[in-house]
Amino acid sequence: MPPIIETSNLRKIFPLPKRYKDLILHPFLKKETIALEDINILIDGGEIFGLLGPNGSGKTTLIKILSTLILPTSGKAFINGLDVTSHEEKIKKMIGYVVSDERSFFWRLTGRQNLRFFASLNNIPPSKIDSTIQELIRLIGLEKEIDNVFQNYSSGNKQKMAIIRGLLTNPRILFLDEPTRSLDPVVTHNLRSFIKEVLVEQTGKTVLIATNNMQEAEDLCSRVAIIQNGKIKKCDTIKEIKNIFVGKKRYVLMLKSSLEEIQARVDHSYLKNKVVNLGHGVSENKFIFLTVEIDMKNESISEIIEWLVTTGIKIESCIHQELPLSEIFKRCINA
Amino acid sequence: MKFLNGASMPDIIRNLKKPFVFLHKDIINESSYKFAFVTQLLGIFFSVVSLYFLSKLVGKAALPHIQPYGGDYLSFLLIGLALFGYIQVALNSFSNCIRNAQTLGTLEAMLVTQTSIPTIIFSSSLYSFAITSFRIIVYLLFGALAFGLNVRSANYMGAIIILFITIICCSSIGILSASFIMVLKKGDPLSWIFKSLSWLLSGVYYPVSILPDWLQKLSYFIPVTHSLEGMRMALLNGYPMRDLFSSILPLSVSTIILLPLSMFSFKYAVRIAKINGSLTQY
Ligand SMILES: Nc1ncnc2c1ncn2[C@@H]1O[C@H](COP(=O)(O)OP(=O)(O)OP(=O)(O)O)[C@@H](O)[C@H]1O
Ligand SMILES: [Mg+2]
Repeated sequence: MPPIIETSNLRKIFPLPKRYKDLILHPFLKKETIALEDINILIDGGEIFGLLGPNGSGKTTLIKILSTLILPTSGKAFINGLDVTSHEEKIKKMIGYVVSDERSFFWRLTGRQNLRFFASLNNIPPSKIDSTIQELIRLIGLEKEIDNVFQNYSSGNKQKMAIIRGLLTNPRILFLDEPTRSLDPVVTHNLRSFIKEVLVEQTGKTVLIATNNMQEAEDLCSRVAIIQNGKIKKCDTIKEIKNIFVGKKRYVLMLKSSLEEIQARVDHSYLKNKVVNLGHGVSENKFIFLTVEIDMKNESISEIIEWLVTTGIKIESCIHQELPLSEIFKRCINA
Repeated sequence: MKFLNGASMPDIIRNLKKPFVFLHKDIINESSYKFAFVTQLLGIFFSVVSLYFLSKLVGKAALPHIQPYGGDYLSFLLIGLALFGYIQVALNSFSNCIRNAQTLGTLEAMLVTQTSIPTIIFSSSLYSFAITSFRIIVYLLFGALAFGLNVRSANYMGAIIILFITIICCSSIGILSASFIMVLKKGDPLSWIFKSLSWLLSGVYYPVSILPDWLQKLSYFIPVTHSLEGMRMALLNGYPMRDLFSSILPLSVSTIILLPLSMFSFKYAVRIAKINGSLTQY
């Protein structure tokens, strides 16, 4: 089966407006910014693929190119084998796009009037429009507010409207640009399980989700591309990304002794370059916390415990600490 | 069954409904500004009343330049204003719609739907055309009642054909200026120049024959001149089709040139906006 979404050497360079001074002094000098550079991704059907990157890294630009709203500067992008620059109409029938911009609704209309309008533009048969809308507002949870004027909605409810609109056509492919922005934790959790269980596992949709929320990527995505300054730094499953970048395990040991004593002992031992952090706990002043990182293959924590015991330092507890994704993200980006 | 661009019959029926979906949305939207909506209706009333006082001033005075149009200045003026109402909408409404959608941010959201750009811009201007039609019907009714606008022997078919071609012709210029707005966001030179020249030269308030010779020659190149001339001949003098031909021909020729040009330029403008990534900018 061919991939549902494919890009090859996709580049986007935006022209930038010139200042008056430059218009006069350098009329032919081009000012531009590189938003995407040589993006190559393959996304299979039924996959939740994450675009993970800091602000201004090019996530929205990539999604807009795939939704035919921005033309790439060079390179190719295909949706279901169709080139996005030449099969606009066919592609628009396959995709749903959840924008991160709340300006995209008519603010003086009610939520329901807005949805009816966009449903008609999406060629949903008039007899099905109301039932489709009703079902989605029940699923997303907007029944109470749906007949209020859009401009009075809270940010979270505006965001819910964007999600409902993206789902109106029951599209095969969904582009979600920061879908849980401004949603509360409960709604966020519900939406994530809705995306994962209903949209993908039950109905087999393909989802491309742009986010700068690590937890979201970890909860949802089968694979992620970490993107920065328009370049893909890493593209793999989260587990693989963790392994490649880490290859190390972290432990936090809670010790009972004075900080100075431990510091002195550690400084003169083989442990010295394995220590990530040593100090008092934030709330637990009685104990000293020692964070160490060891090689996953060649070393084990028991050696360290043994050494501590032989030097007479009391160990209260020892826990394995998962390297947080944010840490991995930081390392990817600084690599 | 497949039609142009591979559209099937249900596609075409759906597209015929879309203008009304837009109209419905715009009526809800516009009428939610209650004060503006009411003043807009009041405005129609006021301009009609001012016409009434004008009619008291001018009365049935015989103006030599008006003789070719049946001799009644108010009827002459009323037809001119009515048609120019449509012309203005055709010139302005498309770029206004684009500008509006840019500032509201809804342009992108509409463009990502399964509705083509021509359908979107045509449909979003429907509200302006509807309001103008309402205004013009009030004008004409008032004219008929208050000062005997006499169109009983008019060639209605001819008038409708001229109105239709005029709207398409001026819409082409309107779409050309919408292309400027699509890229530049503000400050389109085209419709402004065209509108000012038309006010001056095409004979809305006075017949072209009153202008100096060289301006008369210039006015011949403005399509609106032929619209007004043809419309008055059809409504006031009841000219048969064959005599309206001299107005319809230049009007049609300019339409045949302008319409494809405007479609092409609009497509090109959307392309530029997609290259600049500026569909949501304003
Ligand atoms: N229309 C445009 N014209 C010029 N530059 C643009 C345009 N749109 C985006 N950019 C630039 O392209 C880069 C990528 O922007 P983009 O909006 O894709 O980032 P993002 O990853 O979505 O960020 P965020 O997480 O803040 O939404 C940025 O440097 C931005 O300034
Ligand atoms: Mg973004």
